[in-house]
Amino acid sequence: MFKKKALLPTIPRSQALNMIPVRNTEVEETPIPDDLIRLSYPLAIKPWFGQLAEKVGMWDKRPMIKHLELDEMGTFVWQLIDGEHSVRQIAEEFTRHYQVQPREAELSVTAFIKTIGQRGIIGLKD
Amino acid sequence: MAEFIWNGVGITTPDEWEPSAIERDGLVFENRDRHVCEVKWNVVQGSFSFDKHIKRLTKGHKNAALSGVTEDETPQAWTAALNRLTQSGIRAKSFIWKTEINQGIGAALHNPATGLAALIQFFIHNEQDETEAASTLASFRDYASGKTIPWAMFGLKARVPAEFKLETFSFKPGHYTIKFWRPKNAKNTGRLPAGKGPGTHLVFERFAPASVLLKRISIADWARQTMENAPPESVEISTDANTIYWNGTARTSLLRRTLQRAIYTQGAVWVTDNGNALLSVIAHGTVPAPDAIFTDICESYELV
Repeated sequence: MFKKKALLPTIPRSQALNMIPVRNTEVEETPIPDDLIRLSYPLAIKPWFGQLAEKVGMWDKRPMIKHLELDEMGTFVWQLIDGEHSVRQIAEEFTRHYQVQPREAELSVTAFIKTIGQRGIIGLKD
Repeated sequence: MAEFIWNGVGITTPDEWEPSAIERDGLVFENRDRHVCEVKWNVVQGSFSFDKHIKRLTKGHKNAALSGVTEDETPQAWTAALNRLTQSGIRAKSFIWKTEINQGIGAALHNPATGLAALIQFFIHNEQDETEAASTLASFRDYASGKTIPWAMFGLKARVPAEFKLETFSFKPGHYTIKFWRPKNAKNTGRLPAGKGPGTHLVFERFAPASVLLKRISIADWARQTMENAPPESVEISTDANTIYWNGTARTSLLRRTLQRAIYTQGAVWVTDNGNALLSVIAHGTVPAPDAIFTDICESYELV
């Protein structure tokens, strides 16, 4: 019950910035007013929860879809996630476009990428 | 070269260096994920002994072989940097240290005119680090004396009257805040915690990107809805092109007026011509800031 969580491996910042975010092919993007984007992505369900939900009739095994509306800056970053730009390059583009400090852009972009990565919307490749 | 001036101490570093830790009385710089420089400082009363400080350092870092440096051991550029500091009235004593992983060179500095005592050290990985360390050391400045004290950090700079002391600060993506505090009675400086008792808060903020923040809202509405120290509805906001101003009483009552505890607020928020940012200066507290001083502070606040 109180088993110590295994520490996740960490990688140096420079290496993390060189990684390339890749879109999940199952994610659908829909344009919404003001040139923004809504992402629809299948929800990853834990097997034990899936079984339980199925037994009590709450789930018919069809993938559950969640939606995420991006703001202007999120849309800007999403459009640069093309399997070619690295995190560093996206942060540099962000710095140029919004005229913010490089470190500030780096933190904003990495936080955004981490959030959508945790939701399974993107993956990262070396 | 990038200039950093923080709580009365300034240094100019190579462009690639960036602050990785900022304290009220200390800065740590990194370059490519490696520590390159640390500065700590304090104001000491009375005499200052270099030997005592070096001894204290040695005790605190038993794993590091720390020692003073003789003149012939000191790199030439470092000696030149020390000479420059000495000419500006700062006394210095160098030391070197070595552990199994790192090695470095540093100096204990003391300005007898202001009482500023500082410890600056550089991590040396190669020859270029030695040159950069020396040029950074030479740029060390004590800004503690003077009627106004400058500060410069993360592309912002301003000057504040010397009575204002650094209170708190935060640098979050999109929102930087630097707060100063001036107690009504100068004798209370250091006695009461910053921000307690009657006095004036001076808040510098930078919001970015302005183009996104002000997309569908006027600057006055944005300020009222978003800013922590926004003026209350009772205080009128004047607008002039890309700038808004206000000056009034935020909280008052008969009791507050009697006890001299009415809260005054004065502020200016403007969109910068370049840099896509919103800058704001707000003075609030029981002591109003004189208009001329507030205007000077606003004029000194800019993006670098």
